[in-house]
Amino acid sequence: MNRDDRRGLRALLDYGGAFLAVLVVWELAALAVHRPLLPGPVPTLAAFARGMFTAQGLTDGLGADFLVSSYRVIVSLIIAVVLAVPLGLWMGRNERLDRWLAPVVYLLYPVPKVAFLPVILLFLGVYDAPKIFLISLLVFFQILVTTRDAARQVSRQSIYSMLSLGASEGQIYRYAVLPACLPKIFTSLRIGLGTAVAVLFLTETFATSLGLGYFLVDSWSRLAYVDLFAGVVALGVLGFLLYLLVEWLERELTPWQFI
Amino acid sequence: MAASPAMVEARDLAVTYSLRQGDVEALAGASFSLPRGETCAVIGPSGCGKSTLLYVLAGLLRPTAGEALVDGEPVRPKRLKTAIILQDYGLFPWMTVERNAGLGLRLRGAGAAREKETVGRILGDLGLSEFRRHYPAQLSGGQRQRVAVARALAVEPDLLLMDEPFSSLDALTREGLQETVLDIWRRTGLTVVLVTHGIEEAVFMGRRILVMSARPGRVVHTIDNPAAGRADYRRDPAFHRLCTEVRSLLPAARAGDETGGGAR
Ligand SMILES: Nc1ncnc2c1ncn2[C@@H]1O[C@H](COP(=O)(O)OP(=O)(O)OP(=O)(O)O)[C@@H](O)[C@H]1O
Ligand SMILES: [Mg+2]
Repeated sequence: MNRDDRRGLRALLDYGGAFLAVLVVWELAALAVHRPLLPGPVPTLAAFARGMFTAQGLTDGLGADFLVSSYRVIVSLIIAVVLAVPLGLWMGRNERLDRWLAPVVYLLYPVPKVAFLPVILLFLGVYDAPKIFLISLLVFFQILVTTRDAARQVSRQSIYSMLSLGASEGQIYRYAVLPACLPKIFTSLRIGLGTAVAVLFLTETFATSLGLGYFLVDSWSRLAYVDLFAGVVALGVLGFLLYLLVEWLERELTPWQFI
Repeated sequence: MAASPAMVEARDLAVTYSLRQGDVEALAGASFSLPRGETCAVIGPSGCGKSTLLYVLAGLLRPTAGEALVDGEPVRPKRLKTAIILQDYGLFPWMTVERNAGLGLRLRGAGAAREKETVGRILGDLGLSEFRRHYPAQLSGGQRQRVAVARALAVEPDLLLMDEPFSSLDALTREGLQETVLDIWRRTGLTVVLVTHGIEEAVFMGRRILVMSARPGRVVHTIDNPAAGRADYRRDPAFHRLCTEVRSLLPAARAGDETGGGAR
């Protein structure tokens, strides 16, 4: 067994332990409350499995909503990264540009974008576009600001090294600035991921009949508490899987951080 | 052309950094010239503008006044045959040893085969072959310094500028690396400019020694030292005499420019 295998096994055991601890606390809480409002883990996970791993659940049950929500979050994150990272790097390296854009960014960053949901719905319709737009917008600002600050901190020495080796402006970005900023970009992506899942829920609670947010609201209105909690588990699983995905990507793209 | 021009020629260089807190004059009227194929050590008090001088010679920094010529032409940043090793080595933590060493070739589009061949040979010469796949963080200080030397040599420069390359190494490692660089110099005949704050290093390595004044820096003494570059020079009484002479010529650092000391 090499070092990476051992590390993988360790992680699996750690995750397993944490998972078990959550189940135990949950079961105890359910026993204490002893009402249908808070179902225990056994019926909930059974409903979760039924919804996620049966053909029926996947076509128009929990599984279908899970897939739609995953699609929305992943596309939103990709759009946010693809737009925010190059712009952030550019702003961090170009004082003129930054002087013009920074005030705009700071003005827009703290504005609660959810307030725009009605107008977004008006222009982008009721399907995936408005949700993806809103989530991307929020995550975009988080990644933009972090990337810009990281790019600013790239040392003069690194740039001098690149220049002295004959690098073009594009090569400086590719070989020096981007890699220097990647660790911070991943941190902002992890934070953005949390934001994305939280906002996803919000955007799916009205003007739609698909997605985990809708599933939750619908279960609640039917007083189907087991379904409600199965939906919450699905939302948690979605966040967890995305987190693992980002973690894996970070290991692949920034191997020097893990030595 | 009759005689080949000097490899490096600095004429009345001045550099002033403009800061929000006011201007800092780093260099004022620094002049010297260096023939092709020579080694030259630049020594002076901390903060006197030695690094600044190298940046100008490498074309990374435009002087506020005066001019610098390399190989008879005004310096430009893209002169591909000038290599510089920066004070902190300038290695990239995200590249393995071989990627770092091959960076210059890669940026020039030299092609994978040529890069692999050249880098393999140079890493072998410098005793780094088995660390090819390591990251800089996994190396000792001396190994990192050798990677920086490898990266500079990979582009086959005719002018090598080094900024206190060995200052953070222990004495034995430092002497080993001084030998290595002199070896390369003897074999290839490149021109070397070495900035140092070590008097013995300056005398051992520099066939010409430039002593700089406190900031704003200029060259106040030029000492010819033709015995430098000989392997056994360190044991020669002349070596020690010259060390003593250089020490007496060195001006004291200007208050506030002293770095690293425990005084504060
Ligand atoms: N980027 C910069 N911006 C402003 N001032 C600078 C900058 N770089 C250097 N200086 C100033 O210029 C002077 C000369 O700096 P330089 O780094 O060339 O000195 P040095 O001789 O290399 O010192 P050391 O021996 O400590 O490395 C110093 O007083 C320093 O404060
Ligand atoms: Mg310096």
